[in-house]
Amino acid sequence: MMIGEPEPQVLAQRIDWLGLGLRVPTDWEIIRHSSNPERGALVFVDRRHERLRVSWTECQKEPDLERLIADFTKAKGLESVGPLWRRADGTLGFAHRVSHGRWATRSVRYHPLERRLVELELYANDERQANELTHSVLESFSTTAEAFGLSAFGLSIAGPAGMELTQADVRPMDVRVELSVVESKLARTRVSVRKMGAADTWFSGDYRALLERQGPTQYYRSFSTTVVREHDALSAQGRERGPFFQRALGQLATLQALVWLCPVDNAVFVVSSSSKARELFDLRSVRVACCASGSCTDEVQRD
Amino acid sequence: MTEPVVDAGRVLDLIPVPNRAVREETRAGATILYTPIEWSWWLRALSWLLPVRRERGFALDALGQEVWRECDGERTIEMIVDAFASRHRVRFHEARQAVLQFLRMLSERNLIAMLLDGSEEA
Repeated sequence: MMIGEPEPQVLAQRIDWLGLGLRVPTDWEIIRHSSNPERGALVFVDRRHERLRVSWTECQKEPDLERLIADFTKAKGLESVGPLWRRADGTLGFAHRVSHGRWATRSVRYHPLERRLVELELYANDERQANELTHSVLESFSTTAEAFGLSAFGLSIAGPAGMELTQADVRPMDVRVELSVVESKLARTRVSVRKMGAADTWFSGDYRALLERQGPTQYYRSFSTTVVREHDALSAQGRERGPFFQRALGQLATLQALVWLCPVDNAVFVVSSSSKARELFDLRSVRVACCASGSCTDEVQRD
Repeated sequence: MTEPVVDAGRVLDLIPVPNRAVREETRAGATILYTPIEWSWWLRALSWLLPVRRERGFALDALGQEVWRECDGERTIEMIVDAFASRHRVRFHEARQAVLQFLRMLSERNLIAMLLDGSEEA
């Protein structure tokens, strides 16, 4: 490879977030995220720089994309601006120089089915690299899926249609996403998926103790051993803690949990649900990939 | 005096160098780092009458010991983070957050100093 020639970017990392899907290089990581489907952004960085910002805004009518770009260049007072390009899918974009001699591309596309305006801002070392990488990312770009899918922060989750992301709490070696499913008009099931990494340094192998530490309001009383992806797992059922009269009136949620250690990922996974619905939520309908994340999302957990 | 500013992208190039005055002790598998306490005049006077401690100790857990051992004055933060990430099979950014947080703590307690390009203190 010649000196100064940009390294070929392999878009090997799949990201699915709030109905948006794209592929990015493996060393890019999300450092800022939003779980609001109406308006938000995902910000990716490589080891040293910000590389990509994907932002979305709910838009009832298709905006004039050319005007949006013209307004942006005018507002920012951009001087070194590359030619405007339009892709067959309707994406409009251009490259421009940013600070420290780097280049950025800005592309916008309106998705009429989801009524969302999606903007991509990608940074690279030169104009050619910025444009090439943008087109590769846009090539991989997809929206909407019948079933729920989430791939980010080393977690890959597939779930039933109607499942929604409500919150994501991302800490080093401890990622927790909160999801919800509407079971009936009155009942909503809350599902939590937690991945705790570096398990070799803190996990003793006691699944039961781990579940008991999940929260003071959780009370698990029946436990059974099971298998998840060839890993020994513990399945538990219980209920929320609360006063007797609330329990008698059926106002306390039923809890279910599945916990297993994946030695390949060196992580402990905890999938739990909390529901006030009469019928138990099928926890196996939430499929969480483990063993080198993302490689086995199609597998189904088995008891 | 103004704080030296390091570009965020260059933080990974910093080299953590252990303080030579630090004394290391291992007790029941745990490593304790001791730094000498600089006595003020009144503490020096008080030491004639009462036993005043001369060192301050910091106990390290297993992860802390790993990172501390890698602060050899040669490895950059990027190398330490890379090693940590591959050892515990976590993502680079997760490892970076954890390692940087720990190194910041060590630096605040004067257990290490950060060098840039092997010479300039950051």
